[in-house]
Amino acid sequence: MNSTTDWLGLTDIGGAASTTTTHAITWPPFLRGQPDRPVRVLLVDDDPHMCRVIAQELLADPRIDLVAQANSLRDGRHLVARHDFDVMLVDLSLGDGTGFELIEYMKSVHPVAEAVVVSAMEDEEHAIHAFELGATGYLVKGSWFGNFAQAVLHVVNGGATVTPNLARRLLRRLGTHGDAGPGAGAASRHDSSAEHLSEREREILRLVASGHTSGEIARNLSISAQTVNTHIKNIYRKLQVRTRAQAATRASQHGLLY
Amino acid sequence: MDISLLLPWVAMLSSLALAGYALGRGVRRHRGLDAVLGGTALAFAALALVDLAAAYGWIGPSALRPLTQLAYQLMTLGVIVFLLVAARGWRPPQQLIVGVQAVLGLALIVRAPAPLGHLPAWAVLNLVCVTLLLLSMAYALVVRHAGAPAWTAMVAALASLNVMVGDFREAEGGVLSASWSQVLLLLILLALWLGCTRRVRAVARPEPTAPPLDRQRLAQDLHDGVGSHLTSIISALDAGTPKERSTAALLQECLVELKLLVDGMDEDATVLSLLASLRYRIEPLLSAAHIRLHWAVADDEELERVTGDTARHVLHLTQEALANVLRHSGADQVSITCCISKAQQALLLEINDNGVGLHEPAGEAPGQRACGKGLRGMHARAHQLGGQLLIESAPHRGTRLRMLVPLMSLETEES
Repeated sequence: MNSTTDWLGLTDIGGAASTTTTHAITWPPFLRGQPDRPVRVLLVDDDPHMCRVIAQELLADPRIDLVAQANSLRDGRHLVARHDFDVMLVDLSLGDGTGFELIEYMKSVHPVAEAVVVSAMEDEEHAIHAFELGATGYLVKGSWFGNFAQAVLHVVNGGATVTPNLARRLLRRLGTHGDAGPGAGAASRHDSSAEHLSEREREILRLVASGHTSGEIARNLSISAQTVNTHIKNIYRKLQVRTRAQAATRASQHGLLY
Repeated sequence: MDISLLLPWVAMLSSLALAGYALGRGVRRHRGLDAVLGGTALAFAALALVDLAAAYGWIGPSALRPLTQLAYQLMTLGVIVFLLVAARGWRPPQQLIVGVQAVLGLALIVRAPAPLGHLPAWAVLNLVCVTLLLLSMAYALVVRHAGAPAWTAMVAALASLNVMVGDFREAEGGVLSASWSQVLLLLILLALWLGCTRRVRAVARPEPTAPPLDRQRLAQDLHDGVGSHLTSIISALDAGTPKERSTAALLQECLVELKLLVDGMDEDATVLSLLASLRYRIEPLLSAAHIRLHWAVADDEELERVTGDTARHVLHLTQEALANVLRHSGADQVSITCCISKAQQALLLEINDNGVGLHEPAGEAPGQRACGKGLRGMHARAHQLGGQLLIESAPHRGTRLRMLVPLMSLETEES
């Protein structure tokens, strides 16, 4: 595969090198996305131009079956309810609503399908929120002649992406720093290991935050690149667990749950 | 109201106000320093309260000595711990001395043995311990080349020793009381705390004309607006034709520069975070040019503390160096090293490539001229940082760019 999959932080998808060779790649039979069973994709983006560009790329790749596309939250909901699919590519601004709403809806109807955000904004807070709702990828639009097909295949085959800045935020949000100073961090709230980063996960995030690629991290820690991906997916899952736990606490505080 | 009660009232109310403020901050931000200051201020308030209680006749004269000594002991411990933490000298030896001081101090308050000379044994113990701690602090300052905040803490520590000596001299029969010099000391601690925690900027740094938040906002808007236009132009260009491809590549570089500009505007940015995003942004450009990047940026705490203009200069210098590598060098390998060199007590930044070098044969002048201008800019940046830039290059043997900035002149965030 080309450099895209090696570089963990590369949500700026594609690369000039990859544009000429997309179809020449031999795709191993154990990966998802075979020409006889392509990955089924829904595309929801309110910018018709962008939608066309992405659709063109997806249609050109035999490993992907573009099931349907929509330009608004309302239409997106209809598509989600009506179709079977593996991946939903969704923009965050949808004119009549946000991509967040659609992700939430999709996760309630098709919990197994993956939601991948495609956004023009590179904003870590947005990304974190999307992951909290269960998204598994956050792609930043329009770097190079973006290779969305490659990115979609990367995600369905267990790839996970995290940018250095996002890694930093995640560390701050999920990591409990033991070295905050005497008597400072001792008063930590409801502690549960399901919500906190493991030592290994923190190590990986720290390496991403200081600019290392997934290949380098794998080599550095003597694990496989796939294991690095799995760790990152687990981190996103913790983000989701934590958010649910907080929502439950809030709800019970307001007397909504007993 | 009795005019003599003005002092304890003022002392109590002001220290209570400070305690509330510091503890409120401490709880919200989980900061040890805030908690220690809050606790110290509470002990101050307790001493003044005992004074008031005695004046109003709520407690008898026999309870007065142990109570005031107890409050004073807490206060002393609080002040000394606060100053040690502020001077970054709160390490095991100091912790041991403070522990001994606390335990023995309590024992001597309870037992009250015969005075040693003019002073009660308890007071002597405190004077000895505080002097020891001051000496250890001074030693650490000299040995570890401490920064301005640590020296300020040292000055405050001397002032507090002075206050203590004064209070012990005033004490009659071992009974201590609130004094104006204590109130002043409290103000000194407040000022030090504000400086240390950067609620007030300690270093005379040129303030940005617009508030930092707006600058960041502006950069973000610029990115979202101009960036999304660039993005759609790039995606509209045809990858098939060489001319449009090269236009797209140029626009892509613009987009990367724009994003790096936004990264640099982040007030919390550190050398480490900026270099990491530089790599993340520029890696696609490098791999498109078939240049392999070796990344040797140390994931280390000290690098994480280098912030502000220093961090931005390091970012832009690296960015310019990489731009030269991309445009002119013809290299297929480049390595970036950044770390704190313990041996040289300096921040080390090194960018190596295996390209044609800077001294191209005459005839390929345009590239070289642009390069020369870039190099002058880099020298200027290094100079502004108080550092030194060395450039070594030989024809077809690559270029090595090496910058050393002494730790003394680095701008770092107190953690």
